[in-house]
Amino acid sequence: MTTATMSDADRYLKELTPHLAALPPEERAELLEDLALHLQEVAAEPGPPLEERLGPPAAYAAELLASAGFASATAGAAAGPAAARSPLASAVAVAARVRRSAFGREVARAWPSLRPAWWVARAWVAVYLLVDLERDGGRFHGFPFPELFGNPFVGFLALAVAIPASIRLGQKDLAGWKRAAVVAGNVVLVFYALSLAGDVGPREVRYVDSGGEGRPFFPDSCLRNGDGSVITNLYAHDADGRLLDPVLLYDQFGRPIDNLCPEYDGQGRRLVTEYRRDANGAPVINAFPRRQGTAEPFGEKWSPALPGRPDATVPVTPPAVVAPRLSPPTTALTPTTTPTTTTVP
Amino acid sequence: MDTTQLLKGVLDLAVLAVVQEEDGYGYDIVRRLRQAGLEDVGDASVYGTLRRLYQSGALKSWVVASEEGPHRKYYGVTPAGRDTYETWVKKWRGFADAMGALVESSGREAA
Repeated sequence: MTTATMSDADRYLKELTPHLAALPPEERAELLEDLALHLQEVAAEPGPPLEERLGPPAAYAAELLASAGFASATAGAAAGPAAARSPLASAVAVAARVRRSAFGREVARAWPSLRPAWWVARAWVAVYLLVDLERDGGRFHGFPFPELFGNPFVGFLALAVAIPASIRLGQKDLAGWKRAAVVAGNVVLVFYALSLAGDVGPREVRYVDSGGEGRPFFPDSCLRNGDGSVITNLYAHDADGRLLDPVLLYDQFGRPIDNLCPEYDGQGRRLVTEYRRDANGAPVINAFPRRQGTAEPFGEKWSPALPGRPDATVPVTPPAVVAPRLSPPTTALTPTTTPTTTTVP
Repeated sequence: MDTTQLLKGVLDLAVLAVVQEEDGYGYDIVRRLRQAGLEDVGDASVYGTLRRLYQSGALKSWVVASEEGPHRKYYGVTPAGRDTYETWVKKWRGFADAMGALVESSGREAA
């Protein structure tokens, strides 16, 4: 090996190094070490100087990064060393690492065919967001057609407009601020969709996975009978045995009673419980009876009431023995605080 | 059509094909690819592909010391790499047949 070829390889490597700045330090150090050996190999072959044989170092770096699977670092490479320290560059590097993983490669391969599904999904989420804004809370109204202005047909029309629009937008090759706007909109919709998924819990329908295989999970603090069995719902009757629907229940301090065991019935079946709602659609946590049905895996089976129907009847009236006639209480119990009255439909 | 675009899609297969035939070092692999007719193949692309195939476990590598020249890093196919190669070859044959038929039928129409 001659000094000339060595220095040729060294010089080329030195010029190339800044173009690898976007790589994570460890990865870059490893690559440079390996690359030094490779360039010496090439330089040792008979032929013109490296720059002539391999092209400009910047182009070589870009081609190398792309073919070695560092594609997303290529853009950062042009920005030079400053980019390596910026959080954006680190994010890009992390993204590149994810993309290089087996999972990332599979997703990348499937992504072109998944894009149309995303375009449809985001249109759907956008209409739900519209419903949410229009109703000012009380989310996820109607499925599969969002109840826009309380009407699933209007929601259907909105979807009929939104889905093709979203697909057309997806097919366009946008650039500049338009592209940025679409990306920002997507981010908002993804976050909203995530919040919807989280919200399906406490605000409307509540279900909890079992703590272990076949072992129902009951919170310790939920209401139970004297024998320890869970109470999942309350049915108040008047002295003539007529079901009172709805009633608002409070404890001795006027605090709303909410701590029922809504996840499982006594037989280990999972329950779906829906809070009653006031005229504004807000849940009333102490209004009973709550609408309740048993849940199947991958879905809910409501018997016979369906969720979200204000006119649904309460499914079961359980008392085996009709409530005995009661003599009116001699002393009226007065809660220390007056319960706030809420209208329940 | 730009051959480099076509090459991008098949470089993994091309590199594996050359290396599974006989172990080689970076520049040697480039040379063999060029001799096989892929004249446009770039050193950076081949080197990057070798690294990626190595990292994915399809290739193994070792350095051979040399008295009169620089050390050389050799690459060889691992058993996993051979499996990958065989899978890709099947896919490639299907793809090449389909493309061949497509180009031929449209060629007939054009004629």
